[in-house]
Amino acid sequence: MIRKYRVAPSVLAADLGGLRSAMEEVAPHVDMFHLDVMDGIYVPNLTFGPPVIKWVRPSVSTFFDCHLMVTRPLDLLEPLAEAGADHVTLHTDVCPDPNEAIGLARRLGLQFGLALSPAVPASAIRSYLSELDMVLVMSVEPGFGGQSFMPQTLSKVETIRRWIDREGLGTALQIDGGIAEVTAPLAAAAGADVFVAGTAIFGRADPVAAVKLLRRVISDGLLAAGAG
Amino acid sequence: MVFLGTPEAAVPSLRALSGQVEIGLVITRGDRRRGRSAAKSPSDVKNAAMELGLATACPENRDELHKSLRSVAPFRMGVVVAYGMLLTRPMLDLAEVGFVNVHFSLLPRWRGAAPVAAAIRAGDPVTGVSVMSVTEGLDAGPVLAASSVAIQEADDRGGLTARLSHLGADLLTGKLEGLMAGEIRGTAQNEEDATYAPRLTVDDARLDFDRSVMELARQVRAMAPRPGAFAQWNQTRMRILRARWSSAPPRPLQVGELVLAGGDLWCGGREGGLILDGIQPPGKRVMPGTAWANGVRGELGFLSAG
Repeated sequence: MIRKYRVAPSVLAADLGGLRSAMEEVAPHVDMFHLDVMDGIYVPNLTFGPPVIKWVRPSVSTFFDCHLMVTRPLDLLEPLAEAGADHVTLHTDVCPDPNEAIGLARRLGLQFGLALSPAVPASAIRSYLSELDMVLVMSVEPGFGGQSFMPQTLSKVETIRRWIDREGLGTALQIDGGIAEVTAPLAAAAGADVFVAGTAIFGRADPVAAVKLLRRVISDGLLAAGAG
Repeated sequence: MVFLGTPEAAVPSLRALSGQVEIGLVITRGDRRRGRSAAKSPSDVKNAAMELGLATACPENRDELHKSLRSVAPFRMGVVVAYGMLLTRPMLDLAEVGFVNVHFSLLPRWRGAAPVAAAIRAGDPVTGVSVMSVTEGLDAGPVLAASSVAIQEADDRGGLTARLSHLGADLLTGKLEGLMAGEIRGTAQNEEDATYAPRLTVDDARLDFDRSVMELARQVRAMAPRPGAFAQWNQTRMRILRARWSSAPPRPLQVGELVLAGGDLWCGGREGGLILDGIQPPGKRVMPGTAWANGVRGELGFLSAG
């Protein structure tokens, strides 16, 4: 048995003018959508928020995973829940009290995760791990799509994978940034099980074929790590 | 030097290197069940290493692999030929001049686990072997040396792999001195030209009757002898191991229709017919298509995608 894994296209790389049709095209082939909410302050880029999410929500039934790169994430949880988000991931450095955030998310019916920027060590989420639905390891600096994968972040994935397996947790381990055919198998081998890919899906002439190819190289990576 | 490899395709490189350089450790994937026997048997590389009197290790996972490599570190160079486990940065750093990988395609075309099948299936006129420097990333390192061969109409996956494995061994030993000295400068792969050949799945082996007969014949060659292309016949799975194609079958045939004509077994398809030279009914040996067809009572009927 190969470890179960999920592919999450990041709509940041899609044609945002035709977001709905871009999402509808790949939806049958993916496990969730990764929605990068940026406020232009926490990161030097501004994307979209609850209103856009609300408008695309009726078009697809796929799981919505919202990655919040904003300075005041707690203020956004309720609007996101109302817009139809299924999951929110917050960065550790703007989430001083994860227990409060987890409580709020649970009350709103949202799944909850914490994100680690490249400079933040795995230890930052250690004590909350069993409470998290997902841990996001950023393999580029947050802010923009199209950056190159940072292989040194893989040891963080390996560490967190060991913790999850040792404690028998169901926590998902997501990797985001520079994931493509060359890098996805490495992340799989290191222990990631949710793969965010933007340019490697929406930047290709045939996004559906790109998703299928990614799945196959991820399976190969899992086999090559002895996780198969 | 440390050698990492598993299947038969890695053996020629191991043998060639063992005559020229001291190999401190041969690392191979663990013993596996093969064929129908319940007993586990060692990999081809392990057998060859034992015959050559070389020390072997069969790490089961990456932690054990790291330990095996550390046990002989520091070493001059690592050579990887179809090993089957990805190497991480700390492992790569144990070799003084790094690791090189022998890959059975002309990179960046057909990165991944099944390059030979992919090249045949795509109808590439030429393929080859590349020796690349191993970096983190799937077959993405700079190419240090490459050598090409023409793909012949008669080549199947098994035969072409065997040819490439000897070519790879020659390329490796020819460049060995420069590689060990760390003097050969690689050429970066052009990412734009990269194509991928993932590990084969059952779907790759299922004959795709939506394709032209020319493509079906390529699919048969790309899958032979293992895993072997297959199609459905009367609720059974027929493996098709050798086939040719023609745009002019003896009479017009429907897709999948089987007919004996002119001393051949034909199967209809898009844009012509497929001549089935070698097929294997379930539980039987491989036989000429005609031999099988002559033994069928009643209608030959049709083949379909299973």
